[in-house]
Amino acid sequence: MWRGHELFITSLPSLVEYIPVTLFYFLVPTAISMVLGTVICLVRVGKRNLLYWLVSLFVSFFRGTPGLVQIYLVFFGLPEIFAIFGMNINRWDAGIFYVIATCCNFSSFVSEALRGAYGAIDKDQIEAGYSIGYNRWQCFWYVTAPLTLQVALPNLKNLEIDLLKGTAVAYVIGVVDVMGRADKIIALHRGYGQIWILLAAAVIYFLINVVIELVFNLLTEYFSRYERGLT
Amino acid sequence: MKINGKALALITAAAVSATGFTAFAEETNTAEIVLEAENAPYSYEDEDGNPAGYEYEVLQLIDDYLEDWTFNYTVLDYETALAGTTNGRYDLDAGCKFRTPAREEAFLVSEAYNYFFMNLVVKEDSGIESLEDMDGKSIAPIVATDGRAVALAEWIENHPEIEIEFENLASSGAMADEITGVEDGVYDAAYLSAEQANAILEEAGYTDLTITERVDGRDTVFLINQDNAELQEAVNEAITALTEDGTLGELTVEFFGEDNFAVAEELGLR
Amino acid sequence: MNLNYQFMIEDIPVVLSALPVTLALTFVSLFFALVVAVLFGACILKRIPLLRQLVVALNTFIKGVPLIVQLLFCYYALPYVLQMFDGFFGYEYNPRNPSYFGFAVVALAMNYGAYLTDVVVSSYRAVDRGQLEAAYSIGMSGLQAHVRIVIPQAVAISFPNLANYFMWLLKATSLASVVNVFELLATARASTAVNYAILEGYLVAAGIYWVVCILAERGLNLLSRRMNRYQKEPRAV
Repeated sequence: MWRGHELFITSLPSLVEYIPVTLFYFLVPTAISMVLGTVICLVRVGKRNLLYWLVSLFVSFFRGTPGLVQIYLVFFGLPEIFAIFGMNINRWDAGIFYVIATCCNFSSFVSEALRGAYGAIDKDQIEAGYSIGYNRWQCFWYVTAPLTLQVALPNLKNLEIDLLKGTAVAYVIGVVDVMGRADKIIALHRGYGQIWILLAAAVIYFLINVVIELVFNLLTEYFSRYERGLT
Repeated sequence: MKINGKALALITAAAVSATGFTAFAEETNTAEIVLEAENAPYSYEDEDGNPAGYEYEVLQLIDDYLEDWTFNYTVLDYETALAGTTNGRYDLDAGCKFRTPAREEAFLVSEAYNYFFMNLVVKEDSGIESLEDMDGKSIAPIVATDGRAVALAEWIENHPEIEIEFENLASSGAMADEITGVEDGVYDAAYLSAEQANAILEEAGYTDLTITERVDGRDTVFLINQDNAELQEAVNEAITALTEDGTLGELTVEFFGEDNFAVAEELGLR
Repeated sequence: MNLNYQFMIEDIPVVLSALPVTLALTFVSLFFALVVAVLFGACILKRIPLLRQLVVALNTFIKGVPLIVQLLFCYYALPYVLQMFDGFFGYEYNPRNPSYFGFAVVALAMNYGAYLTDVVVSSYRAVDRGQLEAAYSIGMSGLQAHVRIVIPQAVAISFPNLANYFMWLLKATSLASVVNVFELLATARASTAVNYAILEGYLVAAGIYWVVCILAERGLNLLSRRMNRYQKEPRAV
């Protein structure tokens, strides 16, 4: 088991180099999915029209199937859809396919976390908003959104943590981040000391994760800043 | 209106050059080549992210030989490369692939452009020199999709008098683990090429293990999408020519230290 | 899409035959994850010194490391642990046939145990303190109060989150193929070894996962409604 432990130290520097890539594939889908997830959530709490059912199908699929298959589906399926319109996107950077697949997956999860939170908030608060003369938009922005976010934060945090680690799958379509780089080093050594190289990657993920935890703790504090007055 | 006129002229120019380009593109066919990552020295990505390895050099020679073909390269994970070649996103998969019945069924298979030889890694004092000495002994498990697993299973089937304990792994395993299994005394032998074995032995520093003479070999081929017989024909023509004039033999000397084509002839593989 | 539909239909029963393995892996891991979560949760809630800090640190670490790394870690490290128990109570260690299933359970149970600890802690805390006080006031012991009053409510509160993690776990078992467990995805992959229709095999697996997830979600929703049957929304008059 201790065999190859020297690889822990020797592989660390070249793994560190790929941290920006991992962060890129973490932050871009996060930004897009927060918006898309909110939109999906709004549709899902609204009227049960055709759009509602289409969006529900979308969410159900992306929540109910393994991420690896979704990435394959986008990587191989999307070019065929574009080909119908005479466009060849086969040579697009693999990262684009990964971001598209991840956004579909992640916004589905985000929308569900938001929907669950929306169901849990006290609706009297929204009425109170209208009663002091807010219009729909103001009510959403000043009452519904902050309350929902506050309730959804713990779940969102775990989702974000999962997203960060999810980039490990991107490797199958050729996107190389910290985990992909670790895979390449492992291949160079034909699997010798593989566990030590992976542990080096694990430490990096753990440290990024600590930062995410800290950010979410700050956010939680921010969103519950008015709570103290009530208790 | 002037602007419109200008725009019109521009569009026309673009359209003309575009059609001109298409006409040109029709004359030279483009083939999307996918190289399997992580299979050095056969196919891999170098430090700068460019394709590299023996397979890549062979393909470049073929590309040069074929005047009416242009090759585009992508380096990808083993499984994605295969899925993409089945599905048609890629035309040709290169990655040191043995010719197996399943592959011949699922793809169009090229002529042999190289040979791959297997040796046994055993304890120095075991006295094992060939697969015939392995009666009642065990070989470290190999992933089922690995060509070596197919080759070994075939050998075992063709030699029913020799009973070798050998199992396939479901989906993943590392070559280094096979050799470690021998070092730890869990298995009697590991079945892989001398180059692979040497690299691992050197790195792991196992001094009581030894590599036997070649025990078996296979030709390696390119896998081509079912619907691309044209490409198969062209690639085969190039491989035959490059084999006959000795170019590929020289390339194997450069990469593997000896003429694999000559060795294959000796072993009766050609 | 350019797919081999004929093969996909033929492949359904083949892949489906591995569903029991996936379900077994899910439920066994879930059981041990719950055990881990309750133990860890108790350490945090009871504020046991040292143990509490240890558990929090361990939890953060486990959650921060990709599951695939934990699976491979178990794959490489556990044989050495098992070796130490060779000859213990008639246990015979066999290096040729390691229990890949068992390794996967350990990794999955630890990973989801860490996530579920959060659920245990937050749902216990969400139970109204007044309930516990009321139980004491009618003369219940601490154990009685917990078993009969607090825990049933905590379970009901935690249910939606538990259901969510159940679905995550179900899909996460697909990673166990890297430690050679023949679950759904690995079986789908293996079933394509004859014709290399890998994409098709994966799609069949995805379809099965999808159906199972939809059924599980329906079932869990019903169960959740049943559990909350005594919960009445306090309505302002």
